[in-house]
This record gives sequence, C-alpha cells and structure tokens, in this order.
Amino acid sequence: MSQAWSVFLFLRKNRIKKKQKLYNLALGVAFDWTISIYVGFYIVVLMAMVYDAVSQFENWFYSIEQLADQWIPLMVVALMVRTIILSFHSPGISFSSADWKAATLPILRQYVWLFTYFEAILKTVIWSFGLFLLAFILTPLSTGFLLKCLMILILTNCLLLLPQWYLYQIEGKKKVIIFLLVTVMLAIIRFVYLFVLPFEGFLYSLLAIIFSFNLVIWNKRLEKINWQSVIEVVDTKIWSMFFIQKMSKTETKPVQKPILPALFRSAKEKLPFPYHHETMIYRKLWKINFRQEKAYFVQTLGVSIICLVLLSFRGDLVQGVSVAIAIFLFNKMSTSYFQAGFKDRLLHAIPWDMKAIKKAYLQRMTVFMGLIMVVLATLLVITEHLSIWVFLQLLLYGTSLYVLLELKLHITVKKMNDKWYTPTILEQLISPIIYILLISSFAYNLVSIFVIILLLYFFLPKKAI
Amino acid sequence: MSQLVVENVTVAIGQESILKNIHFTVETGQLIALIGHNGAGKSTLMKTIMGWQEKQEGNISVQGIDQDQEFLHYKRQIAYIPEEPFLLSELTAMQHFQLYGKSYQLSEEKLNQKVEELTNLFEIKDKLNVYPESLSKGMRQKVQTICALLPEVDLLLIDEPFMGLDIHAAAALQQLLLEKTQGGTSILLTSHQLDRINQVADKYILLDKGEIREYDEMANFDTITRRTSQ
Repeated sequence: MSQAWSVFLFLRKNRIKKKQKLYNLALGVAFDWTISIYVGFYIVVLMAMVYDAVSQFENWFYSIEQLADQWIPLMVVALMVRTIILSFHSPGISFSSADWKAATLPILRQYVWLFTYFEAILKTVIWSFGLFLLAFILTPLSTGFLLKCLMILILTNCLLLLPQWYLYQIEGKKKVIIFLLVTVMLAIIRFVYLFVLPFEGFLYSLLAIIFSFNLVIWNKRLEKINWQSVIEVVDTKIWSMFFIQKMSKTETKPVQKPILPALFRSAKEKLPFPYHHETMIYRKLWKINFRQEKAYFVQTLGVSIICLVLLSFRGDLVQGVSVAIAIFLFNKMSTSYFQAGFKDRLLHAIPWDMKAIKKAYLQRMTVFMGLIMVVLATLLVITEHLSIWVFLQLLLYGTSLYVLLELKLHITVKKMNDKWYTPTILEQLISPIIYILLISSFAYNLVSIFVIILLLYFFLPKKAI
Repeated sequence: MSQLVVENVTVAIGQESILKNIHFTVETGQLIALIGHNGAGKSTLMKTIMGWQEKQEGNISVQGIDQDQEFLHYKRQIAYIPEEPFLLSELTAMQHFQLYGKSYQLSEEKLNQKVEELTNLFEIKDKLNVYPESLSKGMRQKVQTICALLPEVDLLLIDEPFMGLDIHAAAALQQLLLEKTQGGTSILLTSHQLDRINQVADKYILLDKGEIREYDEMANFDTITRRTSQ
C-alpha cells in the first residue's frame, strides 16, 4: 500500500507541476505585471461592491436563515438528482489514464482507486470551504447557519461520490429507469414527511438512504467498470483548462456520449437507406454533423436574431443595415460550417457528389432560414404594418438569404475543386449588389422590385461540377 | 499514361520538413509497397496523395487528373483503407456500404452484388444492420476494408492492410488485392509485415526521413537498417 501511495503522490505532484507550467506560460501571454496589478485591484473593488450590494438585502438573507430548516433537505434532494444526472456523463472519481497505467505496475488497482476516491473527497471539502468563505465574506448570513450548510454540503457531496461512480458504469435504459425510480422515491418520501411524519426527520432520512446505498455498493465499487470510458472522460476533464485553451486557441473536446439517441434508436434507423433517393444519405450525415456542432450553430443564429431585433426600431436605414448584417452573419456561418463538414475523416476519404451534398445541406438549412424569416416577418409587420410592399420586402429577404447562401456554396465548391479558382465578375458583384438592395429596402420600398432579378439569377442554370 | 504520378512533392509542418522532393510513378496494375521506419513519412505521403495533407510544392495526378485543379474528379479515382477504421457510430455497416456505393456512383445492383460477395468472404454477413460500437475492432476493420473494395478505382491506397484482421480475412484480402491489380487497379500500401508484402508487391519504395532512398523491384529488397545506426 505504501508503494501505491508513493506512486500516486508522484503522479499528482508531476501533474500539478505540468499544469503550473502551462498556466505560467498562458499567464505570461495574457498578463504583464501592470495588467496583473490592475486586475488585482479591480477584483478587490468588485468584491467590495458586491458586499455593499448584498448588504442591502440583509433582511432577505435573514428570512432565508429562518426558512433554512425547510429548504436544506431540498438542497440534499437536488444534490441527489444532480448526481444521477451527472452519472450520465462523468464518473465523479478522477481515475485517469495515469492512474490506470500505475495500476498495471505491481500495485493493486484497488489502492490506486482508493487514493483517487480520497482525493475526490478532499477536493469536495476544499471547494465547499471555498464557497463557505466566499459566503462568509460577502453575505450577512450568520456563521452558525453557514457552518450548518457547510457540514451538510460536505457530507452529502462526499456520500454521493461513490453512487455517481457506480451509476456511471450502468449503461443504457437501466440508468434512465433508475433515475425515474429515484425521482418517484424522493417524491414519496417528501410527501410522507410533509403530511405524515414530522418534517425534521426528512433530512436524516435522506442522509441515511445515501449512506446505506454507499454501504451496499462499497464491495461492488470495482466490479464491471468501463475503464476505457472512465479514463477518456477523466483525461478530457483534467486537461480541459479553459484559460489555457483560450490563450493557446486549442480545445480539448469532451467525449461525446449520445446516450439518449443511442437508447432510443428505433429499428427503422438501422434499415438501409432507399438507395435511389438522391439526398437521404447526405441529409443523415449533415444531421450527425449538426448535432455535434449545435452549440456553435445556436450561438451564431442567436447573434443574427439578436442583431435583427435590437436594431429594428432605430430608423429605416439602421433596420436595413440590421437585415444585411444578420443575413451576412448567417451566410458566413453556414458557409464555414459547410466547409468544416468535409473535415470529417470518413467524409474526406470518399468522393463528393457535390450536387447531392449541397442540396442536402440546403434542405437542412431551410429550417434555420425559416426561423430567420419568421423573426424578420414579425419585425416587419410591427414596424411597417401589413402592405404589399412588406410582402415584396419579405420576398426580397427570403430570396436574398437563399441566393447568397447558394452562391457562397457554389464558389466554395469551385474552390474545393480547383485550388486556384477565382470567382467570375458576376459572382463577385452579386453579393454587394444584394446587400445594397437589402440596406436600402426599408428607406426605398421600390427597391424590393429587384427581387425579380434575383429570382431570375436563382433559376439560371449553373454548371454542376 | 502512368496511373499515379507524384512530382517533386514537398510537405512541411511549420518549420519541419516532413517530405522532401518526393518523385515517383506507379503504373497500371502495379502493387507498390511503401516501406520505412516509424516517422519516415509513409502515412504523410498517403495523406498527401489523399488530399488530406497540404503540400508546399509539387504535383500529384491520377490518370492525368490533377489533384489541385480537378480535386473532385481526382477523388473518384482513389479509394483508401486506413490503419484504424473511422466509421460513423450513427450508421450501420450496410449504411456505410451504401454511402460508399453512392459516392462512387455504383448502381444499386452492383452494390448489392459486391456487398454480398465481400461480406461472405470476410464473414460478416450477419452484421449488416449493426452499429460499429457493437462490432469488435477486427470486424470494424473488415467493414472499413469492404467499403474501400466496393468500387473499381484506378488507385487503392492502404495503410497497414492486414492489421487487425484474422488469418482468414488477411489471406482473403491478399488474394483480393492481387485480383484488383490484375483488373488494372494500382495499389500503394504501407506495411511493417515484410513477409506478406514480399508475396504481393511488385516494387517497393523505401522512405527515410521524408526522402526516397530506394525505388526498386521487390525481389531486390534486402532489409531496412536500424534507424539509429544511420
């Protein structure tokens, strides 16, 4: 055991050293002494401001303390539910690849695991104390109350570590069923202690349940462990350091575990595609891609819509500019997203039926284009009221959105085919002309008639590669 | 016309030169083994021919179709078997075959015929509607291999073809590769299994530190010296 402890300490010390080195490098890039002093000063000032602001709500904090006995058990319930939810993604105990390799030395894995378990407990205690200190400094809550919360927080979180580890190893529908059963059980217990038994026993019952569960699963803690999965998740977590990633512009992507889709894959999805269908396979590929990059997508779409909404009530010209910006952003995002889709190794290894791939992509994008059009239509009706010009404007925006995207994709495909491709004069001029039309469409309604030219361009036969 | 022409290709990553002035051709129906130490540049050369890796200088063409000027047409002439399978977890084995079939413009009849033939040969006929995560590593490698063997292409690139395959599958693949070359497909493969390569390859290219040291008939191949003894 002492050998295992030495190896464990050795690994942890070196990990801390490596992380320190990385942080020093990143801090060196981000800050110099002057900036550091200013930042330190602002943090102190900010804390003083927060304390001052929080002090205004002294009575509110006092009333929280009075009601503490009622909601502290609910905090424990929330932590239990949180643990089950977390167990879908994280084992809770940081058993990394380094620990796994240590366990292949003549050292029993159970000792290495035990140390990582105690390490998790220690981390829980430390961050709980940190929270306590923060609350102690910044809030007018009494020390006694804070200490009570601290004890319960530490006890509950420590007792929930092993259950999270155990539940993480359970795959599939079983875990969802456990989640539902626990939720029902908690609701029943809550009901019992609300209407039948004295409420004071609720907290102790919850803690007793968690403690008993720990006793039951303690001997099974190293049985049927999905070590590969645990190591992948833990390694990603350990080395995903936000500040380092921002400074170095790299990203450690978390391991994607599409649990719910995997659980509920229907038998229909396993069937071969209808082979004669031109785009079905590619639409599936884009769907997979969208799922992986949805955060990026939602972000950019959100920014486009916010831009539209915020600038819509500041005059005709500004409103026109907002439409142009929103469409430009959407266009940019969609095009880079299209290009990024080809970086997938499988997709890159096969020939590209660009006609079908592009068509499938545009079909997938119509949902998002539709969303932007709904927002645009709503804003137009609010600002301009219903009229034939509003209809024409909407037609202009919808056509522009599609034509600009289609044009950008067309040029992108050409460049992917020919490294030295230069867009034609027409291709270069279309975009700026459309943006000018968009900007001026609010000030000069007549401009919307140019949608006819756009539609003509849209139906122009383009040579497919 | 040579099937594959690699002319004065140089690849660098940052300041580090990975491939230097690589120049060789592969004729129709030839099977060329790419040999070298770890880090010699074999996989980088494969990736450059695939178009994954950007090259700083040089030209690559297959059947006269230039990689830089007609990339989409170029891709249709090549199929690739990677060392590690990169199947999508959301597609079953059959759906992968269909994806390859569609991409290489195989008719449905032809695709089904080839799938039947190859899945029987590699003994995974009962795994057509199974997702990759339910397959063993060896089976995933078989699925990946079958994908690349479905189309009739001018050039087949293979990274460690026999890795992960059982003895029967490896023997079947070896036979298939020979049949492919007889049908006019050129093959460029990397492997550390020199015994197997000796049985199938016509020629070899010995890569060392990003440069071609030897390009000769397989019969003239001796051995590779230790990396640290140079």
